[in-house]
Amino acid sequence: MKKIAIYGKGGIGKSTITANLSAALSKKGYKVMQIGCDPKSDSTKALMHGVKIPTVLDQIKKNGKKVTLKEIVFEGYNGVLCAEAGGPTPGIGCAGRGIITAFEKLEELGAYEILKPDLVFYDVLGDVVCGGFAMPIRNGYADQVFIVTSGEMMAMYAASNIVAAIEGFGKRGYAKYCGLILNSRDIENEYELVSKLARETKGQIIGVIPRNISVQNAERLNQTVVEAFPDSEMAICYRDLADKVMEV
Amino acid sequence: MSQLCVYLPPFSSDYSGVCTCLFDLNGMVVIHDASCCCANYVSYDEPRWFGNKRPIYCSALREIDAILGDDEKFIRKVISACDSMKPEFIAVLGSPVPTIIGSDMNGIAQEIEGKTGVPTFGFSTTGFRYYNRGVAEAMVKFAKYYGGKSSQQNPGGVNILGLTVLDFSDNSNAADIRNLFEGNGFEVICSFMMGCNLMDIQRSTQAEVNIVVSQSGMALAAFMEKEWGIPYVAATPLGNEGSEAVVRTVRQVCEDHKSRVLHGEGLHDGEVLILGEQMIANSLRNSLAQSYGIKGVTVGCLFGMDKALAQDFDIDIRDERHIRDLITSGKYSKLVADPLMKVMLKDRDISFFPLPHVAVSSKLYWHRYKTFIGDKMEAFLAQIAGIPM
Repeated sequence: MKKIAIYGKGGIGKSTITANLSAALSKKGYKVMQIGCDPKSDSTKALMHGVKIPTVLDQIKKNGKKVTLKEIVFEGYNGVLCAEAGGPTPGIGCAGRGIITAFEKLEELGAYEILKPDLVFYDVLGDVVCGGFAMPIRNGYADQVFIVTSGEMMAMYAASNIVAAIEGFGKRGYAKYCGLILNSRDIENEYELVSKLARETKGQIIGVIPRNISVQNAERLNQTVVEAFPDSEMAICYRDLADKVMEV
Repeated sequence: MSQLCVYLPPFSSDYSGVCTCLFDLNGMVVIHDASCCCANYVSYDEPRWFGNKRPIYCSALREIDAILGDDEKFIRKVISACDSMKPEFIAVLGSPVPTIIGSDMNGIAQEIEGKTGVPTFGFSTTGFRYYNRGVAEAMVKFAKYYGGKSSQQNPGGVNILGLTVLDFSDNSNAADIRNLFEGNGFEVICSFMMGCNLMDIQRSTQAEVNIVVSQSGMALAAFMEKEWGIPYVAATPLGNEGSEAVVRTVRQVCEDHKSRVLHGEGLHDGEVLILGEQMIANSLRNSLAQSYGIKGVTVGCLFGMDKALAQDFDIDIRDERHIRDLITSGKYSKLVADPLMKVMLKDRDISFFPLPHVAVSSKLYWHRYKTFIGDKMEAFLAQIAGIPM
């Protein structure tokens, strides 16, 4: 079982890329599971065709200890297993602790042993702001981390911080930083800027996703590009990225 | 509010379970806490603390350490103490605050081990779970790490699993249980985790049979059966006939290598309610049924219920209110429980038979603990059965 965490600045396109990777790899015959690790709980929206699934924390709140796997893991496009960790009421509670609790529940229910996915994607919010958001890269969870960035300063700054956090945890046997995914915003010298970041972080750009209207069009249909426009250039692009992710 | 405790204190929690397991080993134990959890363990959950010197530390976690997630400070302190103590191992334990802020105790342990070269074990103890979870985790973790280094089997060799002061106190119980088997021709290789050392744990894989004396030993029994093919007998030796029954079963398992949980026959709900540790309560019930013909005995599991050990009518106690509901149900005429629960009977016509339990009443009764093997326990059983001795 390969376990991959996708990090990056908020709003950079992590969920769109992760959902397209899940869709592309499911079409290649892999059993894929995608776990959204963001209180917004919209990571799997396109895979679930716009249906908002109940989050792990919602179900724990509702059913207490009696939560079952069926209540928190749902089958989306092409059999992709979808789960959302969820989070507290905005403004109160603790989102980081929420991620930990959700992960512990999935483990307690034997999600990985019972569902036996070949691949698990953890789609993690913004930055490694506290212990909870480092949970997906802890020993036993993701083995590899990819960071989504554009050439914009704030996105690269966030990526750099995430790499530093991952390196800081190196002594603990956490997941390894495996490279950057450039989600292009069409800014000047974007590839060069991100290449420089890759060199500075001793990483590599493993794929470039160009800016393309088909992403928004697919979003309007509540689908991934891979599903909505399978023959488009963008779908090919996501499939190529999926191959590269599997090769690393 | 249904979980509010009016009569009972909080029961011993998982970090106390881990600490008590490691007490006899030559290691260094550090609870990552603000001092209160460590004080709770040494003051209330460890009868052996008084008059003994053991390297059990607290990290003195402060608000700013929690806010900043300053694991480095904790790691530095542990390494500094390790340099002067030269322990054979280090154990770092979580508590409520590290749990809430998401401290990764296993990751911290890995970092300490990398820097010191001393085997270091991380325990994600939370303080929100009962002691038996900590006991089970500690035993399995140490057996996994130190066990498995020997391939030869020792005929007649047995291990005792789940022996801790939180269930058996610090009287002669642990020695009595070991003596029972040694007196019957067995060699006790390792008694997890009282009166054992790391060498014993290493040799434990040579055993022919494991004897599980408390529910917390079941996880290790299952692990050792799967990993090293060692079958087990699940029962606490109690009284005279009850103890002999366990010895007979161990002999039987030596012959056919099939694991067994000792259950009484023809049992039914009602009459006697035993509230306590599941395995000990089960064994009391077996003795009452076999030696005194009392078949209507229900076990109320205070620390979680293992279905493999339970009868259909046994009860997984949720909270204190659940206990009050059982007492007022009119179903039971006799209650066997920690003396702290006697007050809950009020003026009900229920006979009370005190069975102190360290994990419930701490040091209030730990010097008045029952001797589990022999005549005194037999007299207690007869008293419950209403037979004059």
